[in-house]
Amino acid sequence: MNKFACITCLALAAVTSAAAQEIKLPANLDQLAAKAKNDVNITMDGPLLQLAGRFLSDKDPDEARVKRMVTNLKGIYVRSLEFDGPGEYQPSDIDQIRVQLKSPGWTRVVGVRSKKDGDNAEVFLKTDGSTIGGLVVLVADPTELTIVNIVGQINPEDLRDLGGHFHIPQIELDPKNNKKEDR
Amino acid sequence: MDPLEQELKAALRKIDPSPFFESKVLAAANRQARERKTTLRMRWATAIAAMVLVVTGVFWQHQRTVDEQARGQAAKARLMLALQITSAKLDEIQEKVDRVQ
Repeated sequence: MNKFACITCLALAAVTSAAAQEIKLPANLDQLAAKAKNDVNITMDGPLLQLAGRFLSDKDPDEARVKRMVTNLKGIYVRSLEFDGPGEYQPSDIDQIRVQLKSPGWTRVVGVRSKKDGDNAEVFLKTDGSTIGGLVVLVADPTELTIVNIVGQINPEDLRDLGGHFHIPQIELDPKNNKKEDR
Repeated sequence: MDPLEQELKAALRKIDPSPFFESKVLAAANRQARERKTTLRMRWATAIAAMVLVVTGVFWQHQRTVDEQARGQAAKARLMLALQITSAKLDEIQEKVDRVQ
């Protein structure tokens, strides 16, 4: 009985964690990380975000903005791999993520692709009416692969407000005006 | 001698103690002394235990606060790093978009 309860709890925890993360990062990222020069892996789920939020100052304007933004977030997941040279990873390595981002609700608001430099950068937003429920940033440069997944309600004003303070550029939320292809 | 005197004399007559009277008195005195010592020791032990409990509690609470503080600061640093990476990447994308335009 105890074993069953344990398994149920573990399964529930796994489902909850997976649900919070929403976008599942491919398992092969860990294999790629072994080849990477630098590997940054930040996983911040809800409780950790709330804990961090408690240590953000209300007096500092930047921290106060972050604190307000973090209140409605369920998780922030960042994986950034830097390689010594090009060709260490294949563009198909992040296809699993792109497939997930084709599901309903997700919109690609920015897409920049440079055939000359081999850069590929995309910003996806999960929208539900007028609310933003998530943000994914995919940057696939020849020597760098970065995936950012912010889960939870993001106030567009907060996102715009943070522009200039945390060097977050202002992103127009109308996807029609922001698809750019540099070929 | 009147009856009253006789009664008084009878009442106040010298009676020899029982053979073990002295040892019984000494034993009772020793027992009382031992009980007093035990009570005193118990009081001291209770006071020391209470003091140890209070000190442990205060130390535990302090340690918990320190741990919580450390975890909170670490979480804050990670959060700020995550946001800085996000903003740097968004900045790069913005630059690329601007270049295209």
